[in-house]
Amino acid sequence: MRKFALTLLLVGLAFGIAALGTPKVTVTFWHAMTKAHKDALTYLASKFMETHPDIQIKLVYQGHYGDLSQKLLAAVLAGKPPVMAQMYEDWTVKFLDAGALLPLEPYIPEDVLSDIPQSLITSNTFVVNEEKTLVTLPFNKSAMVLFYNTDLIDKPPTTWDELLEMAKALTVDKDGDGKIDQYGFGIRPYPELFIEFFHQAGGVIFNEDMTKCLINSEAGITAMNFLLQLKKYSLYQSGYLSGPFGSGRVAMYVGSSAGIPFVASASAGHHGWNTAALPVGPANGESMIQGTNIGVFTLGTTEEQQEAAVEFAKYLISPEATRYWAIKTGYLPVRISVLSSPEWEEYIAQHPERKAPTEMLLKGFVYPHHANMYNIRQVIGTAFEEVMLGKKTPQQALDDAAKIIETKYLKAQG
Amino acid sequence: MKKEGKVYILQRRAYLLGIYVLLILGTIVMIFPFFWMISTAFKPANEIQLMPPKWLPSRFYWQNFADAWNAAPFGRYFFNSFFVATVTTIGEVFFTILAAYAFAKMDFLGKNVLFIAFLGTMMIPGEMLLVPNYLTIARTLHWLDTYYALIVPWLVSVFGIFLLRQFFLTIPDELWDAARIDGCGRFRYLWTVMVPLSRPGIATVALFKFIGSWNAFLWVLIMTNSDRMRTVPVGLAIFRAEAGTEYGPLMAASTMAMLPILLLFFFTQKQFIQGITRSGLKS
Repeated sequence: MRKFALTLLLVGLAFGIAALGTPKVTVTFWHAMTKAHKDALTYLASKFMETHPDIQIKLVYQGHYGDLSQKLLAAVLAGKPPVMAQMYEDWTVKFLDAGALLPLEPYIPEDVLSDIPQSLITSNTFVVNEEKTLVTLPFNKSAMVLFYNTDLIDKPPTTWDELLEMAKALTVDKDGDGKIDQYGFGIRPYPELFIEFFHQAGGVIFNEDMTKCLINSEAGITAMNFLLQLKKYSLYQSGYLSGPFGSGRVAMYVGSSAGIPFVASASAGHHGWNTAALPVGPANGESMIQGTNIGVFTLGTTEEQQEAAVEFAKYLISPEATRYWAIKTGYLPVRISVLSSPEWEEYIAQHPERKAPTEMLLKGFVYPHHANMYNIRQVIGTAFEEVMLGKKTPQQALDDAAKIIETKYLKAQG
Repeated sequence: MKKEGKVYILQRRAYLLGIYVLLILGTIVMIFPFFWMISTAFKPANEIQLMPPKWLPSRFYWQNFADAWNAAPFGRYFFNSFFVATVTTIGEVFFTILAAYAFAKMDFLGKNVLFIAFLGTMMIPGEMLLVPNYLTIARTLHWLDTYYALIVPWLVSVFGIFLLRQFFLTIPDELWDAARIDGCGRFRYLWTVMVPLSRPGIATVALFKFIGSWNAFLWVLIMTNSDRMRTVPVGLAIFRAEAGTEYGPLMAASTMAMLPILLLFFFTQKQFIQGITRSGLKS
């Protein structure tokens, strides 16, 4: 009896010591991913924890990006942010100003850095202590592409002129009742759509030191005028275009590749569809790359937690993880080596709609970094809407927008 | 004379017909969003946004409900919503009655200043208070991710106090004099005379609170971190994604989320009518 008790005690002690010996580091990760995206992230976290038994990744869904941003800002003010989180570039600027973030460049090997597409390096590089350094790592990335109805279009347009011509040809009143039943193109007046055409016309939003807004330049006028031309053959609505595209009311539209699953389910049983590289504009055919990055907080976290978070962030951009992530979610792989791997090519062969977004990633551009970018893009969006609704001429609207941006958001920044 | 009677009846009928037509039109306008929600809840994704619209699904697509239910731990969310809404409603009704009585029927130093200060807080938009409130909850009280954070700050509402105070003011002071002669104290008078007479007002306060609490989104999202503590509206948000909205499952989940409110409304509607008839008989 005594022997049994002793054994029990020893076993208990052994377990106790073992438990004490490997104290787990808990890393909370705030994100905005839902459903299939959340499942993929959960899977990757559990995979990571298998190989890192001393790390516990705690994923916390914090609502949409808007909610997540509000919550992160409040948490940073309270000195209690999570260890890591998804973040857009303008939030990153704010968190850097608060001295709350850990720049990740020193932790990333040279060969990994050179394997990340240039546009993504640009979007994750910030000025810290007057030096440019990689602060965050790319996470859920999507590119602007052209969605088109394959029942109506054999060869998608490759230039702006072809796009306009095709949009015109595909705008028809089928039953002759004087109302258009099928539009060649679709326009949802959100700022990024205008910025896309603006960039392809050769525009840049700010001057070098971000003291002037150049949205009312020649490129701005060119882009607005072209969009006005397109609007004649477009369904213009503020809702997402995947619905009308799926039902066949809209033959083409330019949108984020994140919309692929919505287009797929809305088009099912109605018509075939595919994505294509964006029609090339007067200056270039580059595509806007959107989506968040991952940052690690130093504020209110321990060094062990930061190190563990860095490990997980590095794992998420590893070739295996980013390929899995891309296949499961529809976002883009963030490694050049994955894009050119045979596995990816095989996947593309089965999923042709994923080809164009991947190509666009290598020809991508991103928003400039400014803490007020969220408000600035809204001003641009308003100008875009005013022109589309005929309330202002392109010159008027863009002059007004540039003035508001300069006086309200650029000067105030200091 | 007889002819006049006939004309009167005809006029009366035309009048009633007009009233009914108006009411029916109003009903259609009110019911339509509900109809559309339920119809969409049963449609597969490729039937939702058609032009011309499809009024009814081609077949009942129950999968939306299964998808919606499985998309988040809705069982827990429903429990939390119920619990939080019930406790805050009971709490608010209790505190509101006390405060409203004090403001309506008692005299004390600085009463008007205090009341105006109370009303002043209604002018501050809630969004502006979110960050300071977060700091209080997170740093001072350490209540993040607890029921305290979801319940305690919502136990008192100035709007409720204001509404009920106005209601209490309409009750004649003679009742209080009579009660006092019979040896009744303020507390007993409040609960046995004022409260029963103010049922419609109290029901309104309770209904507003319950609906408000049931629908609360931002506060719950900001103050909680785990599925354990979240409520139904946070669950509904997951169907809206970066590049589109899954209307089918969203409408299915909304239908499920709306049922308790609808039941509550049917229930309190009876209370409303009772309360109104009661006060109507009095005057």
